[in-house]
Amino acid sequence: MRESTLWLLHIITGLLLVLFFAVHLAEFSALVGGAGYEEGLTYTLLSERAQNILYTVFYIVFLATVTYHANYGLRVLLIEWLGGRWEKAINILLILLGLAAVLYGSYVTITFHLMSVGV
Amino acid sequence: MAKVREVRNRRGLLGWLNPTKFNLERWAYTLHRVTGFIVAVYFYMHVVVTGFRAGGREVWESIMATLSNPLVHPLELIVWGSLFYHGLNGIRLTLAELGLIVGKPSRPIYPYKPTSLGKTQRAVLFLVMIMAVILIILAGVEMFILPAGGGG
Repeated sequence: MRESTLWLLHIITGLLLVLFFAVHLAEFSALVGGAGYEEGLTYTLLSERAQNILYTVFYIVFLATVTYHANYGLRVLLIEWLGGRWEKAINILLILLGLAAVLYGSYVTITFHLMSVGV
Repeated sequence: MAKVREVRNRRGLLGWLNPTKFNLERWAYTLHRVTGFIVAVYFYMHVVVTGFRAGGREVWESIMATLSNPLVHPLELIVWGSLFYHGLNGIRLTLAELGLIVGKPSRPIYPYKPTSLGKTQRAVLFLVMIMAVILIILAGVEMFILPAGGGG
C-alpha cells in the first residue's frame, strides 16, 4: 500500500478510536452509571457483557482498529529512530506482532462469548 | 511499500524526543509520541491480561487479585492520562492536518513566527491540555475515591 494510504488509515482509525475508547470506558465507569472500576470487572459482569453478540463484534473491531493504529505509530517511531534501512525488518516484526494480537484477542473474545452463552 | 528515504539520525532518540529549544507544538509532539508509546505497550499487555478470562472464573479472579494492588493503580492512571492526552491531541492534529486551525500561510520574515501556531492553534492546544487534566482528575476519582467511598 502507498505510504499516504497508510497515513490516511492511521488518521481514520485514530478518530474511530476516540469513539471506541469512550464506549470501552463506559462499560464499567461508575461516573456514567456503570458498576465501577473494581466491581465492573468481575467475572460475572464480564460474562454478562460477553453474552451480547454486539459486544463480541465490537471487541474484535476495536481490537483490529487499535492494532493498526498502534503498529503504524510504532512503525514511525522505530523507522525514525533506527533509520530507513531497517524498514523491512520493522514492517515484518510489527505485522507478525499485530497478527498475533488480533488472532489471539479474537480467539479469546469468541471463546469467552461461547462460554458465556453456555455452548 | 514505498521506500523511506534514508535519513541519518545522529542524535538518536534524543533527536526527536527532546522538545527544549523548540516551540509549544514541539512539546505537544513529544508528549504525543511518548503517550502513544505508553498506550501501545499497555495495549499489548492488556490483550494478554484480558485473555485470561477465557481460562474461566478462577483464572480470571486470580489475575485480577494479583493486579488489583496499590502498585499497579498509579501505573494505570498514567496509562489513562496518556490515553486522554493522546486522544484529545489526536483530534487537534487531525484538525491541523486538514488545515482547519493552522491559519493562512505567509512569507517567512525574521523572527520567523510560525503562522501555524497562531491564536486558534494555541487555543485548541490549551483546550486539549485542560480537558486532559479534567479527565485525569475524573479517572483519579473513579479509581481511588469512588471505590473507597462506595463501601465496595
